[in-house]
Amino acid sequence: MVDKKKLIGTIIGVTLFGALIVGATFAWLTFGVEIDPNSATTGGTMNFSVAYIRGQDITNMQILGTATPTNVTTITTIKANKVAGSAPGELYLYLNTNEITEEYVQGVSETTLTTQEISDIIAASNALLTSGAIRYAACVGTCNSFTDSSVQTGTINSDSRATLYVGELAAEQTTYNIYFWLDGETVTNDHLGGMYSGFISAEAKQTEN
Amino acid sequence: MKEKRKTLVISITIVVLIIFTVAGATYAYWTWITSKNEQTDLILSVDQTSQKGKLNARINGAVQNVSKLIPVSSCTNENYVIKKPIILTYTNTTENNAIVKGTLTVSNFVSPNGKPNENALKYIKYAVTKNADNCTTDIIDGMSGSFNTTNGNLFSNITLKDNILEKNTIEMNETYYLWVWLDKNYSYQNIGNNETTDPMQDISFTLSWTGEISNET
Repeated sequence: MVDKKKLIGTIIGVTLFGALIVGATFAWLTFGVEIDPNSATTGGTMNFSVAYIRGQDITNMQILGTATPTNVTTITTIKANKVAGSAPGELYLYLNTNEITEEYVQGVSETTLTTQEISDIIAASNALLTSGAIRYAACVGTCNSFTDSSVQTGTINSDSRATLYVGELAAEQTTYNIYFWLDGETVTNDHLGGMYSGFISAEAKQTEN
Repeated sequence: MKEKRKTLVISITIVVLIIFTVAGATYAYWTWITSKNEQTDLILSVDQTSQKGKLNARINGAVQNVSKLIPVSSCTNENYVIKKPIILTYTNTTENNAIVKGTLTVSNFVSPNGKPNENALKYIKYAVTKNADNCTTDIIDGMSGSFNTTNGNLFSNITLKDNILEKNTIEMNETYYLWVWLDKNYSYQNIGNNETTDPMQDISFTLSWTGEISNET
């Protein structure tokens, strides 16, 4: 008699072998891909922010025939730099001109002015603004000479926003000195009593370099 | 008489012998079996080695450029664009092409200025190319797009298109480049001394690969 155990074993073996053959005709299995930990990518973004210290207010301007860094005393000093981790950029210093209104004139006057007086002051203010008598020079640090190519100079002759300075936004704190004066060759009697009102603002624009 | 008796005995003996012989046939003739040492084992396991040929793959990393993102007009500005070489090493000695699928997962996302919204995240672009110099040429089909958010998560997994592993290939290396950049059309203005309120600034994240290989369908 054939041993039963052996008979069963044989039958099982045949079945499994048959299954192996049958399995080979279907799709392969899916396997995981080995991953090198160094294949991970770290990323992030920078920021774009400016550390800024405003300059002192200017309440008067000198009338000068020839302006130099030595004889101009109306100076405002601004400090600015990009903060750590900041993208590169350009710094813009702007002069924004306010309209001289009746309310403004009366507000700064120590006495009550008549309508005519206010009107005359406004007229003189507008004449002063459009004459180009208001001059400026902007330097990184102290100006050695207003004729240096590195010094940005200009004339204020309208109420449009004027760019006083544009340059690379520095990584370290940098001092910007803005000099203001009235040109003696341009100022006339028509400007007497005239006023000017404005403010300096700053902007920075991100660049790719 | 004696002769008759002999014949009878012989006949009876023969009959008996015949009977015994016939009876034995119901058990076995002479039989033989293998000893235990002579048995052949049959072992079945489900793994690659049981298949004909070898199939495996590995995604290797290489040092990436150290950069953080800023809005750029071109993704070729390597100062502010992530460019990561990815090396795929595979062996496919089977007789069929195989497919490898890579999935890029964003993790460890940190945004100290608040959670960016979907409209902002879409400006983070990515592409996988065969070109080392340019992220806009030789883009692997389907392997480009934007970060986005789905299902309440910060990012959806970036599933890259299947890549074909050629059959009958031993230790093949293919190099790809993963580019990630922030499109210049993203704009935000911070206001005030040392102020950063943009949720898209100062963020950090990790991009990790997982992958699987299977037969070509």
